[in-house]
Amino acid sequence: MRDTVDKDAIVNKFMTAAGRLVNDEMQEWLNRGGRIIGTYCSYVPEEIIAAAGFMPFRMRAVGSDSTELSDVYLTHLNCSFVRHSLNMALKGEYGFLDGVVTTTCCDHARRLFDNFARKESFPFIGMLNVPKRNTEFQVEWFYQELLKFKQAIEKQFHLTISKDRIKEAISIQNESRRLQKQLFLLRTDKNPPITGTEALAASVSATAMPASKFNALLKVLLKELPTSGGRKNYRARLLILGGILDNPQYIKLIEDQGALVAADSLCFGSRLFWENVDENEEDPLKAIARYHIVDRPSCPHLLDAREKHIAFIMDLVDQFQIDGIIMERINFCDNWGFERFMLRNTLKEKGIPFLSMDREYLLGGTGQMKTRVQAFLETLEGDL
Amino acid sequence: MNEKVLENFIKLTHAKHMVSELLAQSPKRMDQFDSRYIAAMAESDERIIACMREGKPFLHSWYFNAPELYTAMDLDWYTCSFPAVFAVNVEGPSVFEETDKIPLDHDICTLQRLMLRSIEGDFAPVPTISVAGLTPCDGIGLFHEALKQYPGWRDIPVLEMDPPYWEDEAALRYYGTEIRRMAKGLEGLTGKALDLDRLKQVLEESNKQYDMWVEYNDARRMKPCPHPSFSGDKIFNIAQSIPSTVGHSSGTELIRALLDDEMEMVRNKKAGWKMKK
Repeated sequence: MRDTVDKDAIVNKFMTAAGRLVNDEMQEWLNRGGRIIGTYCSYVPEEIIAAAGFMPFRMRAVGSDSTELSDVYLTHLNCSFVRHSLNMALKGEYGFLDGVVTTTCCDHARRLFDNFARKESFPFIGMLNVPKRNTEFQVEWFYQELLKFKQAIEKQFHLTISKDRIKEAISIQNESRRLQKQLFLLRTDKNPPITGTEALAASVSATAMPASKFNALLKVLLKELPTSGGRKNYRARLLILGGILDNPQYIKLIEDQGALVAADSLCFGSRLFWENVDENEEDPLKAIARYHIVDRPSCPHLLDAREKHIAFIMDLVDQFQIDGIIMERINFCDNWGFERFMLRNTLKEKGIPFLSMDREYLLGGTGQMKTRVQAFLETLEGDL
Repeated sequence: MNEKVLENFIKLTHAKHMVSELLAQSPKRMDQFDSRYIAAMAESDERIIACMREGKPFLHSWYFNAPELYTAMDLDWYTCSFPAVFAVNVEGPSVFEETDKIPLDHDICTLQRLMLRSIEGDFAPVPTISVAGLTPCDGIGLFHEALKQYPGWRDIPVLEMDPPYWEDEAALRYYGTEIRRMAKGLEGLTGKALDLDRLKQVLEESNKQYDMWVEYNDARRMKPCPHPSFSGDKIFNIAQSIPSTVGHSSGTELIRALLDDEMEMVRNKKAGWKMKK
């Protein structure tokens, strides 16, 4: 009986953490004098931040309800996540952060950096130039970027980040990745003990808690979860594909229509934990550079890696017995707009049904979304 | 070779010749300039047509991909943004309706959508080599990825240079290496060697064009403004986008003509445009 309570409590903890900006574990970290640096993209190496003694926190705009302040600096043609996030920064709602780091991965994030830099919104503001190609030359370039990033943190906060600390941080993050992948793989089962909603909540929580704390929670959850006997009688197994979807309620809305979201390729999902950083590499920064530019499943920003990403999606389709794919995209996102345009031909050729859904960062238009998902599921049932 | 593309490209080129000839008959000085400007575009197109007919190699590339290299290597090239925009002269407004049918989100840059339409509508010749653009926006790199969806474009070699975001010494070295790699790739694929002395000559000419561009823009601060807003864009095209003028003395002469006209307007305190009331 106690096992069930623990399992539910941990799942609830993850759901709550994903629905809030500051969760209990983060608050505890802050109360103990811990410091936090926010990251705007999965290409920001959390390991370097953790090795400096900070908790890396993946930026979300959860709780935002307007863009009245950020609309002065950005337009309605900018990504709504960026607009909401800048608005929260301008309102001081990220006051718990000692710094933020963005990347060059999208036009909108670059404007976020410009605005932060101009307003001096945080004590530390960094941006990493993530290359668009993935040869050895680009690995070297990104390695140099990581070196500069490390030195910038050392200078700003008057500290030294040792090689051993980075290796230790890699080890902890790799453990987190392995555990998350283990949880993710449970949904290969016909009746998985965890839903897509809960799985996304877990991976969002991984970006919002001290890694060792998250790992401890997830270990308990994995121990107590059965490997099967969970969700039954669903109408179809879906894969969600897209960018920064950080709201498990979006997945819940899909699952409430009778689907099982069995897998994903999202910036807050499987792409974060599918591969590990090489712990045997002598230079840990080199290992991190290689992980991001070559090894891990990439987003559309990395142009040379497209074939690999398609192969990754197709592997998920096979492994998780996917019936259909929902491709979600925040309006005005060129990266995922073009990716969707290209992928539709591939999916058609392979006979995989798909549904394209545009969205704003805040969950809205739910009535229309339900109708579209229901119609998609009916189509799939016709095919099954 | 796709005969339909050749036919359409010839139509676009003829339209440019026709406009150029009409403008040449106008007594207005700016029309005279525009006649030469459009003729330069048509001249570049004629070289692409010749390449298509004779089976010679030509590139698809961009103004931001170091076009001086192409001039120095005597390589013919074009940018599909031109046929994308000029296609409306041949097809009429239906171009926009056809563009909207492409299943690419309508909030994505209109130029990129029009360029895809120029590919789908057989207005953009399939080159021998594509030098992809990866800057300045997210869409442009992905546009090149999207080209691989189209027959013909799927099978051609693609060269690309990764642009650094920064402007420091390390970034310059990085991009320099990328440009050298691209040049090596072009040498290998076309069999044409890059002569660095010839490149220096081209850059000297190109720098003259850039210097005049700065001078031209400075003079536009005058009140009344001596030239209308789109005139500056013409220098951009002459110095960077029209293959027959990039790094060529003919391009320098064209910009000189525009600059001289502007200076005369400044001296006479004349406005290059009229305020509509």
